[in-house]
Amino acid sequence: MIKFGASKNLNMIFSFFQIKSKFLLEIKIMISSRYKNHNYHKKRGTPLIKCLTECDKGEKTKVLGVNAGFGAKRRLANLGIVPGTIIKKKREAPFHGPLEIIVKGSTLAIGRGLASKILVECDQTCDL
Amino acid sequence: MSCHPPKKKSNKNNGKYKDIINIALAGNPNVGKSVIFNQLTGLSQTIGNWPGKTVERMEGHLNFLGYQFNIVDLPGIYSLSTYSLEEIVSREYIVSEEVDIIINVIDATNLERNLFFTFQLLELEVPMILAINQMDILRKRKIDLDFKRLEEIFKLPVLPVVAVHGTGVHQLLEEAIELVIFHHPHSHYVEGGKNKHEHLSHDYHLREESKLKIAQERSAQKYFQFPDLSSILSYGKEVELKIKDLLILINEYREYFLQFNYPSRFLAIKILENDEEIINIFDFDDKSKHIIKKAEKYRKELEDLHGEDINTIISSEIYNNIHKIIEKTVLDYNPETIKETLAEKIDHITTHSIWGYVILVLVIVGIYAFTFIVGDFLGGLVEDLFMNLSIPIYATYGEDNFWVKLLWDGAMGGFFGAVGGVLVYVIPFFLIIEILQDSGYLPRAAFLMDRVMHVIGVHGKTIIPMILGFGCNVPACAGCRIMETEREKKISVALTSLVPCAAVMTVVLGLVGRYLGLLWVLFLFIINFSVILLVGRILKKIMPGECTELIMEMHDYRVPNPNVIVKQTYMRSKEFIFKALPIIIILGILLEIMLIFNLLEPINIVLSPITVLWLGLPVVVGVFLIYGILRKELTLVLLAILAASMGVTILELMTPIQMIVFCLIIMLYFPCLATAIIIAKQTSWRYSLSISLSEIVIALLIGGAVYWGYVFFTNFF
Ligand SMILES: Nc1nc2c(ncn2[C@@H]2O[C@H](COP(=O)(O)OP(=O)(O)OP(=O)(O)O)[C@@H](O)[C@H]2O)c(=O)[nH]1
Ligand SMILES: [Mg+2]
Repeated sequence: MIKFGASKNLNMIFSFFQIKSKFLLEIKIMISSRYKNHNYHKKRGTPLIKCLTECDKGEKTKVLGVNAGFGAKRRLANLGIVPGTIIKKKREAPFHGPLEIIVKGSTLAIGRGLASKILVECDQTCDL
Repeated sequence: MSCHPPKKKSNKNNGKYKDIINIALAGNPNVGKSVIFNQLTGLSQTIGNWPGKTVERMEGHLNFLGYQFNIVDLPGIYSLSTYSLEEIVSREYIVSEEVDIIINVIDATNLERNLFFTFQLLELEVPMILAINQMDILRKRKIDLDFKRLEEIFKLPVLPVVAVHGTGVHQLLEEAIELVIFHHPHSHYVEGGKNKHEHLSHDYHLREESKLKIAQERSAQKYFQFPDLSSILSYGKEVELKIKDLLILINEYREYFLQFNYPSRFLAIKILENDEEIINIFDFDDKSKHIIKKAEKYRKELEDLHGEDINTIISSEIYNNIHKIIEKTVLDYNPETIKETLAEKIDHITTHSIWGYVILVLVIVGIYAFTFIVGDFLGGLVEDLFMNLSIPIYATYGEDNFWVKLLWDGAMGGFFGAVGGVLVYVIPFFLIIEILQDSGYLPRAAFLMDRVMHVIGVHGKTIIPMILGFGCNVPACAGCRIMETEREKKISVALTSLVPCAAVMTVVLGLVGRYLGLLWVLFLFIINFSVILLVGRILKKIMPGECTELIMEMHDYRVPNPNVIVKQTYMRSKEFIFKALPIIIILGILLEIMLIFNLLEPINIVLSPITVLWLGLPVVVGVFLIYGILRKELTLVLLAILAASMGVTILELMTPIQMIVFCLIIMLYFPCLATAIIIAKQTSWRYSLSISLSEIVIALLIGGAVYWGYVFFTNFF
């Protein structure tokens, strides 16, 4: 059992982290929405943050977060789409259709609406 | 000895078998549970290469090494969290009294995702055997697994299985017997199950003794010491701390929660995860409310700490643990080396943004073309046979003999009509549908059609029951349970019931196809699909709620297994024969009697305002439309009988426009009785009735429109 005092301290740390992580995410979203021009980032070598729908075919990316509702988020998490997972976009159905992605060695089709809520970054580690 | 075992099922034990073992097959979708089930029980559950075939649990039995096994095939699920209805049902079933042992079927080619579910099952602390299936495919990729190591890690039996060949399937049962006898998992892995089999039967009598001592009144779940798996079932230090805290609270009040079969730790995790279902049953007094409150607080703390929601945290931890296990046990694991195979090329072209749709259309046209060509050829042969057989019979007994009319024209005419007019179409049709199912094409169709289906208010998965509906609407409507929400299920059921099934197709091909040409068949189908689109649009408008997004696994293409296909086609055709043929023959006789005594007249006259005035059909078809409610193919058979007994061909009985209108009506006017019943089961009687009524209205409107359009057109141009 944690003593009361200790847990209070922990709490403060928790809330600090929360602010920090949320803050970071927001900044990342800001960056990604402002500079949709991919080349801009490539030139500078900064990690590129975008939603899964914006990725190119065959591109490998790392999941940053999922912005969906409770149920959908849990389902995606259960299927392995959690922060840090590497996703490879396999293809896209025409007319703004769903996406086909490879996660954890198996292929999933995901509706476009949901895929646009999956935030990914492309960094050196997955630039294979 | 005198007291009964605690198991419900064991009461059936009447001394004939020594023991009864209840086994549930659980695992992700499309891993091969039903193949194993069919191998073990000899039953024929639907098998195919797409996720979500089994929608209801199915029970089968077998006797093996002196035990009676009750085996239950469950729908495939991804997790024990509650995303879909199936998951709740499966979860409750697995922890219920009825299951002694779970066989967790795992797709070896997709270990990571499959083990996620295994981890969740482990939390239920039910005796379990891991069956790693599809080892043939894995080994073809030159990858192998370290089974000894896996057993060490999971402290449970882990067995390689190739379900389609039946390899390793019965070893699962041997393992189950051992689990039951010794109540603890054994830890020696014997390569090649055969030795073990002999060893088991040799030792059988020795074991009998020990078994009698300890096992007779036991319940496997009760005495089974679940191995300590805390080393792998750990979700990180912070989460574990919280779980432990909750566990203490739950254990304090454990007697209150005894009605749940779930182990305390599982309850703690699920409450922490905010699982609605568990919280709902848990939320009944102050103490439990206190626990829920506490869990809420913990959840918030954890979420704040990680900046992620709780399910993501726990899922990540599980996947981390799985990754470690995979690194230790998968030999030569290198997903990058898999080169582009033929399957992938086919995959590429069938999901191509242009060719994909071309192929989709070709597939659907191909289904019909194949069926028509084969069916037409065979149908001609059967018809000739009937004609040739008729000549001597008419010659000896006379054409107007009462008994000849009744038995030959009625009964045998019905039989030949059914075989030559219906069966010859139905069998090739089922065959090609099975091939399509087992190849793995269906998810691709769903992928391509997702966008289009959103227009009518559902996501792409609906296309799967709809394509299956080409075979028979009844199982297809049952298959609509793969849709996640009630709303989508309702829409899918309505759309599927409008898909022209094999029976409708025989009528259309046998009438319009044979006498007017395939172009007119196409015309009819275009009308039919426009109706589906229209109904979908309307339903989307009137059904409240949002359309959920598609989440579906796409499995690799596979060469369809000939054994599976032949067997499934045979089973489905057999079912058709036994259900339909007797009805057709009896109705054939009935029709003859009615014709002889002129009983058709009144019914037809009552219906004539609709059939004759509004639709312009010949007066005699009225009664067929009523028969058609029972089975749609009947209408064609009865028409043939009628024509035969009147001594005319169908072409003389009906004009081309009448054929077209007649077929349109048959296509649309009612989902056959069996379909209406299954729709009611899936949704409600009210919904089923309203679908049926609206379809009658639609059919009459469109049939009338076509007829009057034709009249208008011919009179003025
Ligand atoms: N090569 C190979 N294919 C297999 C094996 N086991 C099953 N399959 C194939 O895997 C596919 C799925 O098998 P099913 O038994 O229908 O799967 P299921 O687990 O019952 O699936 P759902 O009912 O949808 O949850 C079928 O196409 C089988 O032919 C195996 O050991 N080797
Ligand atoms: Mg199944």
